[in-house]
Amino acid sequence: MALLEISKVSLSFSGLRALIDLSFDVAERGIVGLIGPNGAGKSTLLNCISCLYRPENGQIRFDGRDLADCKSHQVAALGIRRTFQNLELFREASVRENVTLGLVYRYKLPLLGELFDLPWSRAMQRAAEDEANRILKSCELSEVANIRVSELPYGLQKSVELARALAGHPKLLLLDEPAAGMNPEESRRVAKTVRRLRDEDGITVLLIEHDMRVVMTVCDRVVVLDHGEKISEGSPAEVRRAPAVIKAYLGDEAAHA
Amino acid sequence: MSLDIRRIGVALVLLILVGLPFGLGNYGYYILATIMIYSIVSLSLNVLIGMGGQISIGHAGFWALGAYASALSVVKLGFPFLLGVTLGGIVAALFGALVALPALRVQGHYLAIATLGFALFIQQVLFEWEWLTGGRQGLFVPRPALFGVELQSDFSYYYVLLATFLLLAWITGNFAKSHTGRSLMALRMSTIAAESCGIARARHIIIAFVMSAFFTGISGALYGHLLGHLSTETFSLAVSLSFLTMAVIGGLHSRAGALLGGAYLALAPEILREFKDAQMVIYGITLILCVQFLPGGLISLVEKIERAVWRTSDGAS
Repeated sequence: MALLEISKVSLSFSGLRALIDLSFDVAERGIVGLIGPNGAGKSTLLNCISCLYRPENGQIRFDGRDLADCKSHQVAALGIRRTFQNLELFREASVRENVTLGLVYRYKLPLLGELFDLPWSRAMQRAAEDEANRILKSCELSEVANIRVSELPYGLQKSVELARALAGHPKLLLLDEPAAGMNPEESRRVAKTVRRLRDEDGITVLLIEHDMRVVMTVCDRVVVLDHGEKISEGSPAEVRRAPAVIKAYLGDEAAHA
Repeated sequence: MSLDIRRIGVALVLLILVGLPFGLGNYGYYILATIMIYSIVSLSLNVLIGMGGQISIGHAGFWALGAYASALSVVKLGFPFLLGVTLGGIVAALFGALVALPALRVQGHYLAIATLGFALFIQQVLFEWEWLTGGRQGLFVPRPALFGVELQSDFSYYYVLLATFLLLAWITGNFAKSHTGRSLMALRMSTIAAESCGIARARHIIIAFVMSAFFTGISGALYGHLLGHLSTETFSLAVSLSFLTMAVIGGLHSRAGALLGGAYLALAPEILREFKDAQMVIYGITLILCVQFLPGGLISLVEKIERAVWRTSDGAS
């Protein structure tokens, strides 16, 4: 069964058509790669799924629910979490605080209890801290937990963003270029992590990636966008052979060669 | 170790605050009382600006609402002092929710203008609503009273104000540690990231405004009972601006900074009395210097000294 259904989604920005009649499904426990040249509309689609943008036409359904009236902060409660292409972290806060903020909304502590520091609200705060610590540990971030995020190297910052997303126990994880700026060794680790998240935690993943090795090893389906349109969809092997894909990436001559 | 130092510091400050009035006269008590009243407003701006990243140059409006709501409920409805003050906070808080609405749509300069408009509106309405507020004549406000006993002297009233400040400072501290407060700060750091974490912006901005307005309303109510007489001139635009100035100069991210800000606003006019019209120039220069060289406010100077002391003592050991 499809967890995420994109059907006939279109969106344009002041005349520029960013997404054109786009349709595809993401199966439950699937790992789907979204690839295509820069400006193809990949991040735009992710922003539509996280309700930061609203499609002008078409429908996005998650778990059978139409996301049309969903506000961007409500998406998390449905079970969708994401990372960002250029990192959206709480930079002045510690790693622990970043991860904790990823899960606080699930605790829904009454404000008055917190304002007067009542024992039971303190206990729930502690439960949240414990959970954050567990996530830090499983993401191998315990050692840097108290360091301010802005002081970490880029690769670790990406791990923090992923840990923060996982803190929400998502059903669907949207990853915008998880391996960007990483060396081959780190990219392999990213690919392994994504697989583990699916295999062990049952998380469905939709990821944008330029690193073809990561896409080919980790995805069971790939959707190729170019100028806002889907030009190919299939298994990694199928997509790699598709003439339209070769043309989009390498130009006309390569496709005919 | 550093936690212990912090505790000793807090205990010392408390001791000083409790001991301050001794040896002073009536005027001294009055000045100390205004320090506490201003410090509460400074706390409220800590919540709104420091944590929430919002701006207001309309806090004189909340201050006025608190003052009039408390005074009127005590005079006309016979409410006891404490209940009146609480009501002052609640009325201001209700308007805080209202002022939060534009903040959900606009930020920065536009929000500043919107809050400014609110304060001018409140001042005008209070002025025109003559049968209720006394309009031009103003309104007499009875002395504060606790459990039927009137506090004749500002000496004893100072301790009521100090206790109120400490209570609200404690609540502010809890708020800063709370999930709600941290979510508010997360929204300030990155709205997109916070929303992707499921944090609702509207709810938290409204909470920030309501809390800030409640504190300021309480402060206004307490001020009315200190003055003994209310007139709308007390709640001018200049007051809103000086609130903002005090909060920035004291430090927007610290409760001790709020206290320093309150002290600055209460004491500076006393110290600079000789300068007459040149006072405004000095205030302006102080603010510019502070923003330029001490963006964390006066309290960051204290923290710098504290760290320097730590380093030298570390070096010695």
